[in-house]
Amino acid sequence: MRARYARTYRTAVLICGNPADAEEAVQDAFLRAWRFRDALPDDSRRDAWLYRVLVNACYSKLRQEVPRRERERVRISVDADLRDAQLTDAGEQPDRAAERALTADALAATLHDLPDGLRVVVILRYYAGLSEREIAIAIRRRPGTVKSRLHEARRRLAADARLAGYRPDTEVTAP
Amino acid sequence: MSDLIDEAVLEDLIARIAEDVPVPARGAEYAVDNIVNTITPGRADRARVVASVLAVAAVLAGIALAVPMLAGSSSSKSASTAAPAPAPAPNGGTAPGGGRSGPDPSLPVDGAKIVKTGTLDLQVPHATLRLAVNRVSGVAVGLGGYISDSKTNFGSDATAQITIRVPVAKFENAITQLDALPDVKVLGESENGNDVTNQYADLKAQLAAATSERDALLVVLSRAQSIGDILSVRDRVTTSQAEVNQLQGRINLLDRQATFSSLAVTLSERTASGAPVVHGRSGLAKAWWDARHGFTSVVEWLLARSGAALIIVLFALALLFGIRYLYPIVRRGLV
Repeated sequence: MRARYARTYRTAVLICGNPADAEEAVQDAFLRAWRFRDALPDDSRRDAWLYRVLVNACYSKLRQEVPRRERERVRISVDADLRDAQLTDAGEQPDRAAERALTADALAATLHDLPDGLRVVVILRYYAGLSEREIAIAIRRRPGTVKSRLHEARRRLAADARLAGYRPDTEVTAP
Repeated sequence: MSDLIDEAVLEDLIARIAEDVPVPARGAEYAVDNIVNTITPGRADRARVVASVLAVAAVLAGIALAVPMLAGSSSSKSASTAAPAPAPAPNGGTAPGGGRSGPDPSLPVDGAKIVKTGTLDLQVPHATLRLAVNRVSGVAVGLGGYISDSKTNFGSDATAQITIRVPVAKFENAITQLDALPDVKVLGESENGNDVTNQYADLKAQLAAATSERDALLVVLSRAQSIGDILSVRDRVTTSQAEVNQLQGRINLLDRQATFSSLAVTLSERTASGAPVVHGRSGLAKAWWDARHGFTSVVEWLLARSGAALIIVLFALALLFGIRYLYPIVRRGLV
């Protein structure tokens, strides 16, 4: 559990967009996984099952929140002091660290502008590393639905001006 | 230019976002603590578990009690169609002598000793006497009783006299089940409830007195000095001991009679002319009829011999099925 916690927590933050909700969702997910551990499949579907529990917990948190338009999306607003400390510790130059912070915020904003259904499949596919079939199990949809959602998400992200010209080894500028 | 964002780009984007997400230092520990606190039931949780177990046990006990009661109530209705039911005595009290004016067996009387007997005259279809005898035996055994006597004549005038003994509390059930046997016509029926409570009490008192007398004589015998006294007292001790044995035997007999009621069942076959149902069939139809009745008789036999155990087993199987197949489905639906 401890080994999985960091990745699970980060996945929840990416889905919920809110560290507090994410932490509660992870707690709920681990608790449910423990309660129903006898129902855990033994094969590769185990990860999909665990992410399914997590996604459901995140959805519960999202449903509990105020309406979307009133919801304050933290956009993974990492504490500036903490991040500066981390970057400084790593020996990075302050101006470079600031640029990275702006880039991260821009990317997070782009990601969180996606609808929940699209964002979840993108996160599960490109961060959690699940296959389309495992994502289908996790979100209880058909693999074809997962494929179409991934396609739609990639299309929307490609059309987002904030990511124009971005490459893995380059940076984008904040809008 | 592709209208989709490159997968490698997307993966890198999300990885960079995730990297900037600080993970709570003690998040995993909190999760573990949360689980530990949940799986360690407190006193209230244990009380709820005990209450649940007691509730389930109460339900099962209620089912176990309700089934024989329902069977008993239905049996009274069936018996009343064949013969009038005995008139219940007020408060289930004592009734002098026997006859159908005895106390209602369905009314429990604390400490009362009721000796129940009955006769049942049944007519069965032609060539089904052996099957009927087996069914009567099955009813007796199924109710926890036994066959005390059985005489069967498979000659031209096929008849059978069977005396079954069943627990007194299931006497009415026995009559009802026998009345309800398939293809059976009730020609006659009688029940006799004899309250022997007073007689039983008298015997107990006599036994106590006889025992005291014998014990006193034994003391005298132990103190006798002369041969003549010894012989004289010894004769009286022997007589007193015989009286004690006789009284004890009568008490034991009443105990047995009050524990197991006796029901004499007479089975007789209808004449061949009176059974066109069987003989009027063609070979295939007769085979089908035999197979059908053979199957039902086997099922009846199993039900009679299993009693409540079969119901419990079926309930347990249903419960296991639910736990094994339905509960995981429901559980997965919850998460």
